[in-house]
Amino acid sequence: MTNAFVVEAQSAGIVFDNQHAAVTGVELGLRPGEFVSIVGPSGCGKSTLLKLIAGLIEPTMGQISVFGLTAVEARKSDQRVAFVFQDPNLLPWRTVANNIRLPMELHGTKPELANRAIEDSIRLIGLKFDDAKKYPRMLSGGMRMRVSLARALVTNPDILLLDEPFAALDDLMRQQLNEELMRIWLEKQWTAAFVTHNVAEAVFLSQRVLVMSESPGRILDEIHVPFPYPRDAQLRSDPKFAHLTGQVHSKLRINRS
Amino acid sequence: MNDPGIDRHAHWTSQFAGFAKQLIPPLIAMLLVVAVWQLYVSVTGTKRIFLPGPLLVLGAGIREFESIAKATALTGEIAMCAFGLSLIIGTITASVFSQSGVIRRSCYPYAIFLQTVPMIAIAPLILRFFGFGFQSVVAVSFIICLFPIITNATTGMLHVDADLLDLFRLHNASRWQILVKLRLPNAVPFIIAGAKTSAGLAVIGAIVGEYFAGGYGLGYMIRLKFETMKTDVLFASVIASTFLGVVMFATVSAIGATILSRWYDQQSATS
Repeated sequence: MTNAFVVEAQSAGIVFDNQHAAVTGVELGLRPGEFVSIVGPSGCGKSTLLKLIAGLIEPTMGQISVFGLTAVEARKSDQRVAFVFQDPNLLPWRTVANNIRLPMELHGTKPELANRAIEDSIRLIGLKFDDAKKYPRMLSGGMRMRVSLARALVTNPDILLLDEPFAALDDLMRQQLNEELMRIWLEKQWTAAFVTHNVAEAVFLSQRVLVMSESPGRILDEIHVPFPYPRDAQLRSDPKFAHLTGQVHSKLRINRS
Repeated sequence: MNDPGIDRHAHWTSQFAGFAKQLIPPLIAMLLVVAVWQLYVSVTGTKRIFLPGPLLVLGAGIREFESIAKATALTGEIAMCAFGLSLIIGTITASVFSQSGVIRRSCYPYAIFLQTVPMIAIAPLILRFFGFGFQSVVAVSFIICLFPIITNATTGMLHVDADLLDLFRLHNASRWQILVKLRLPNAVPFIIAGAKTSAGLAVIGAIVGEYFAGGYGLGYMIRLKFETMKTDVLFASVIASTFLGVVMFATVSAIGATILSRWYDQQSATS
């Protein structure tokens, strides 16, 4: 089963002209249905790594494959990869339902199929149907992020890439959405790559936490998180949880000096 | 929640108060100017062909109301045609500009030509092209109000959030989809800003056009009354032109505000 990676990076890297946020020598393998977090200091290239996997930018060194294709080919052949940004990035001129519809529209999905998928997605993410007709400006930050998640999930993706999606939310809202995200992942079993600088969030959600170095980013270490799913809010006050987050924190600190 | 009826009442009262606050100072300023104007004319006894007093202008306005109203309607019609045309052509031009830096760099200098060309110099040329009448007048007005639409719409189409562009690219959106579903709606606030400028310019353009090429409308009337030294009617038609411009501007602003208030918060809509 060693070849069963859905996403695989082999000494992958990218150098921009301005040397900014570059990534080098990344070795990475994501198995189907796995939840992996990537933590690292700001500006270490975590977001760049996600964009490489999404096939939005091309590596200048090594290679990144998604379903056996290069990441860019995978994107062009309509593989089901979804991306959640730090900012909800909703289109202000579209209602909630039509924002969620966007990916299906771009893929040319039939309206009947799209409508059903939108309904499912709205239900899955815990939005009310009354909210579907609202414009994004009427929603709170947490609700906007839910809509953004619903838009990513509407295509029923195989891989979900999340770029610090909850960074702008308050702590309570973040924890709540972490729990929601885990519930949906358990139900749908997509492969998740979750970038964050919040260690507790990474440990709470994932099976593995990858620690990246400062720029140019490399993956330095990997920590397995043994807690069984479904994990509940209680876990956060478990001493073992504290021990593990402490371990990740120290790894982050070591590679800083 | 409060009773919605009370809420709405409070809302309207506060709106009215805001409206009054907006309206009363300029009204007082106008009354003052008119009073000083009347006083000046009465005291110095200036001849009415040079400067008719506000009472004389008012009298001329009432006496010639029908012909002034008809001229205003005609000019308004032309201004609206030219404005609508500039909105469509300007947005299409900007859509083309948004597709390639090469096109933009090659053509933009010539778009600036529209802004800088002295209308008086090319009005006779337009007259030669389109002949005496409606088409020439619309053409003059159109040229004057096209530029603000092109620049604003182009800015809006290029001013697209990088993450949103990534989202569209992730889903393999075509250039056309990106244009229609992202760049164009993104440019709407910018186009509205440009349209506000163009709405006023359209009236100016229509009047300049009529002055040269029309046998009708406010521009023609202004010229005619100037030549026949009917300065009081001339003043009344100038006031009618200003009024027309203000109405055009206010209509476009109101439509724009209605569209934007659905999409954006108050603060971001006005910024």
